[in-house]
Amino acid sequence: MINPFLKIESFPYKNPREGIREALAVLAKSEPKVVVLSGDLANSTKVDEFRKNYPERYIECGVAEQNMIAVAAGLASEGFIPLVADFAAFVPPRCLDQIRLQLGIGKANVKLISTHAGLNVGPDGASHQMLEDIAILKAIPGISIIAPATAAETKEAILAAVKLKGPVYIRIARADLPEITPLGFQFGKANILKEGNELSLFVTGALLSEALAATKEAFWDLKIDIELIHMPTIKPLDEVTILKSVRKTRQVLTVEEAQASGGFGESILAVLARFEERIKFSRIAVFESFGASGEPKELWHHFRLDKEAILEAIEELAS
Amino acid sequence: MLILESIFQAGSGHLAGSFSLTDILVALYFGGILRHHPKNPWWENRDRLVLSCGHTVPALYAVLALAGFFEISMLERLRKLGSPLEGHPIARSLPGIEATTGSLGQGIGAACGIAKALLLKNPEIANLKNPKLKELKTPRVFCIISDGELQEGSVWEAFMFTKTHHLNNILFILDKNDIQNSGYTSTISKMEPLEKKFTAFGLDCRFAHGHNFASLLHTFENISLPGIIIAKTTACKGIRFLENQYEWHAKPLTKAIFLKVKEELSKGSLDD
Repeated sequence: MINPFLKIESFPYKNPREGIREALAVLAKSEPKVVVLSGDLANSTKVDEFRKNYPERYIECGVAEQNMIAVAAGLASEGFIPLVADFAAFVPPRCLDQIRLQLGIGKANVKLISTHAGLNVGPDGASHQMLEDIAILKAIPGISIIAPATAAETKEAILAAVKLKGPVYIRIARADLPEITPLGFQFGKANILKEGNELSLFVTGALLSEALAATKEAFWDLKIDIELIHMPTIKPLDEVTILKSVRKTRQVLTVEEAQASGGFGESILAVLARFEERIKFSRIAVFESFGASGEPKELWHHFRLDKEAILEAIEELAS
Repeated sequence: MLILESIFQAGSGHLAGSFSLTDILVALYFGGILRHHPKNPWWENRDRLVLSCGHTVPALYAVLALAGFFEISMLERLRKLGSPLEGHPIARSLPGIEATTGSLGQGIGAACGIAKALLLKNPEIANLKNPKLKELKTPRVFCIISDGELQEGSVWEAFMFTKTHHLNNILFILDKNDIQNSGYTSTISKMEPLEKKFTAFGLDCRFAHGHNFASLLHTFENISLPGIIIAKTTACKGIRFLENQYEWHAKPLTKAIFLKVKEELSKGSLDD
């Protein structure tokens, strides 16, 4: 557990994609079956160092994402562990049919490492700000989904995904984020960052720093004792931890940088609907809208995902 | 006859493509072309066969059963609940099934991935200059595609990948039966000139008569890799009153038609 009362500013900013580079440096030596594929995005996804040092294990697929996923499935069928590094705006949507058939029905042991997920992509605008990926992939049986919050967690998530047998999707932010440590990633496990009694705040991915800042302000300014639970693994969901927390607090807020429809919050809601009654529930997400060009912080504010919006939602729930 | 019976028992299935493909599969599995081992189906040095046009899998199931990969009696369970003989093939669901297909334009990419994996295991192959199919001692990949399938953009992505990555261990076989689900292929999409296109993508392109074993074996004997054989075939081959009719791409067999086809096949019209 980290000290939630530390100033967010005390965590240095780091790019979460650095975790990809660091994971590959480890895997290059520890796991000879790992090969890396990319659709002309080796530099943007931070697999360029691996490409330079291990050219025989880097497979350039060009701007042809459909073929890339099918190729990855073929490599997997021969015992390799393909890591596909691309933008979330293209993988999964551009090759969804291939993902469904090869990774879903065919269970190909392929790891999708998609960066530039969420509004934090910034100036590139709506076309590049993937918000629908969680909804899209959640519907496909057998694909695990992870949204790490920091570079260290990205690294741990990739190392864990390679150990798992079966397809995994990892969605990673583009912007530099507070490198909140230590988080201690465990696949499939929720991570209670602060215990509390009045409200369960479930957060996944890049908005962790905003949720952490909001938790702290809620404690001092609103006198609301929040249980802050970071959930990097969106699928499968750690239902045990969710229910344990909710049975104590009876109030739930979910936070994600993705479409509300089909998102992380809906997964939690489904658990609550199945096992619990009379829970107050609210969520922070993007509602029936695409992103837009702008700076990451500006966009989080505009689309009501930032600390301020989280605090408002907390106040509303608690009133 | 086995294909016909399994499709009839299933109540659905793609008759036309299965019959156009059968002679090609027979040439591969029984003509001494494909290196396979039915009793040790995942033998490391086997050739890999990927059926990218997954809807014609009744033909592959029947040929695999006849070759001894599994019991012939299993063919009765085509498309039945709980049977591994799915309507479209799933990788490793049965001995001899290498890839998951059924959405066109995917098996070809998977075949390229398999070929790339084999190159990673035998890097020297990438340095060869267009080796002959017959001369390659290491495992080869045979990927069967259909002509309607060529309309999928991902097929051409795979051809570009083939050239870029020096996949000197892959052979594509085009089952060119000139029909697809809702019409004749030439009326749905203008795809010719295919030979020029394939050659431009860096493939050794050869023609074969897809129902003539001598022609097929001769082409396998001479083709270089990466290569593509345009095998001219006939939809519903061998069933004269159904041949070359696109309507039979996926039409279920009625009992009356089934009996009529059975009678015609028993007269042995698959002889040329």
